[in-house]
Amino acid sequence: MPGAESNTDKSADSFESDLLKRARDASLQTRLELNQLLESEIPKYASEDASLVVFGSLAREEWTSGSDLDWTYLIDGEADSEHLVIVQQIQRLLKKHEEQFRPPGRTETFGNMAFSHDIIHQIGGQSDTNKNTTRRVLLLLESVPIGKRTEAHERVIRGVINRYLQEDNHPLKSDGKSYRVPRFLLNDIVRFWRTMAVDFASKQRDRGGEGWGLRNAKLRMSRKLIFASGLLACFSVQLDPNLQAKISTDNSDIRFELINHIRDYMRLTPLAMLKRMMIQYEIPETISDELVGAYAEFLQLLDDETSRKALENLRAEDSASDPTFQLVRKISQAFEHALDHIFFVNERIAPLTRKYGVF
Amino acid sequence: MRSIGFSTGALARSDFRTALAMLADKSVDAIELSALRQDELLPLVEQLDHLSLSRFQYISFHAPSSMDRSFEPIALGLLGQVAARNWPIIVHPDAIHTPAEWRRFGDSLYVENMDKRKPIGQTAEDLARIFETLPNASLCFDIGHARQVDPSMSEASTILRVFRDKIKQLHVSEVNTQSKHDCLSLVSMIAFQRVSHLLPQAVPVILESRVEESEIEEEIQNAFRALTPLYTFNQPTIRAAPEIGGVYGLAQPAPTPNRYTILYVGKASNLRERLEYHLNNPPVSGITHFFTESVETDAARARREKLLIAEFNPAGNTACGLLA
Repeated sequence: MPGAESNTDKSADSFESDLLKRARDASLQTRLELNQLLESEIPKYASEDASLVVFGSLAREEWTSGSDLDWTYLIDGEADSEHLVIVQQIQRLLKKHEEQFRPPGRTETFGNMAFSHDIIHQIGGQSDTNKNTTRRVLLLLESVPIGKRTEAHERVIRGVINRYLQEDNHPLKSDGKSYRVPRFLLNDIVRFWRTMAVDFASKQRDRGGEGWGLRNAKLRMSRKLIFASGLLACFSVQLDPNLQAKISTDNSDIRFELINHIRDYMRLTPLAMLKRMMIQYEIPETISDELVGAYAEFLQLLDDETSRKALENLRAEDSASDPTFQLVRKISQAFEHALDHIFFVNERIAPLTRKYGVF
Repeated sequence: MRSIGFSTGALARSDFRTALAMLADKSVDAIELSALRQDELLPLVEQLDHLSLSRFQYISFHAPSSMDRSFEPIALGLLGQVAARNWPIIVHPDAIHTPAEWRRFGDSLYVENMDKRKPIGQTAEDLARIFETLPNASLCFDIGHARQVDPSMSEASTILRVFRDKIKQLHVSEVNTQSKHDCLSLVSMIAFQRVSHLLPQAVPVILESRVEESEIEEEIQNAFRALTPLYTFNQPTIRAAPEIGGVYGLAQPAPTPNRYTILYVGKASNLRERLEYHLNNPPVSGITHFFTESVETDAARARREKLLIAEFNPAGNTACGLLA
């Protein structure tokens, strides 16, 4: 059943720690239980035009005891007033089971419905809100449909990738022998990351410092992981030798190959994508161990109720003396050290970071 | 030029005689006899000997789009009479309950890729599973279904690449949001055009567009436009053009995205040679793309060339006085 299958890369299993395996198993089990609950209480909740899509730790296969359930009822078809009725039923049902499925955060990015039209057509421009950008980029980089009706989810993702590629007028380098990094998509992923960082500061002000510690930890780790995986997916378009072998003289073919390539990469969880790239681009084992180890430690911390609570209650002014936050800092420094190596030292990736990552 | 025609079901639902009458004076040479519901199968099969079908170069038969398990043996018996006429049988994969029983039709069984309502048969992955159980079956590629499943057409391109050799018939129409067949719109024609170079060129086209009789010819022309691939006008692509007789068009992008202005239309007994000649001696300036259609006889080429010139009014032909 889609959603109950793992999106980790089997070829990168050597990196697996027990904790990551546990988080993955818990994610798959939770997705199954979520579908069973929905099917039993709201039969046929999804259709060919509407998929129930989960994001966040459940989609990334990082589900821990305190994880929120970030979900969206994604509609790609005729607008129907009954869609709202279904969304409200889902909201009520999940509220009843909130001990197992903790409600999403207060931004209203999740926990309601989203329409393909906004996601596909409003890329850039005045109507592209932070909420729309976040939904769109997370849809690409960390979303999974629940249950059997997955068509709308797949259609929208392909529609979004197609839209990004349509705006790139020159998909091939001038010699015609290799693909260029898809700049429009890459820029939107960079924008998403910067939006996350700016929103972090905005929330700190709006909420008077409440929840600062956990948001900071997520920004340093899981949000950064998503950003890194998005950059690498874009870079892979220029780096992947299998893709370069498929260059056609036909412009439509070029776009189809790119859509399929980007979709295949983005089907992986962000961590699985990084693992695959680390193998593919021969990142030293010490670095890959450092990255995966740091990430596993971060999940361990979130899985520990005391540590998670400590972070949830931590305010910025107390961070310097807080032992849990000091541990977060140490973990995130190791994580960043490994990312620095991948993006700024590796001789194949570093030139692309210089060329596309900053200016 | 590929065979083209209509499905009787699209034109007149179960009233196949009316549908045939609607096509009597139209420029079609293919027909698909449709029994889309179970109770339509027997009446249609019983009438096959009494239908006037001699004008059609290509005839196929659409089996009921869904079937009860108990009806399957009856359907198989009736479809056996169709197969005995060497007509291909189009079937929806979810109508098949016992695949082993359908293997008797060999490559005359054309399994169709499905729209988004159906539980199977939408993607290349689905089709691969179906062809595992029916290894000799062919594919009826419904380009409208493929677009409805994935408007980016990337899934369609995958199906066309993986199963190109199995494709024996095309179904063409717009498939709307309610999964109903409709007449072609500009947006679907643009989408079809993007995969047109991947479509096998000799395969017959059956239109499933629901049109009035007065709209039939226009729908045929729209289908030709949507399915005729445009290639970049340069040495490597021209070298891949077929060395056969046919008609060709030379074009450049129009101001509207994804549309082209036809600058010149011609006919030739060797398309590749003629295009190579035009590459060095362009009959008009600004050519960036070309299309070809294979047409067997010189007389048929002349007729097709005349039709294309009348349709596109190309500047190059007008300048030469061909329209005078």
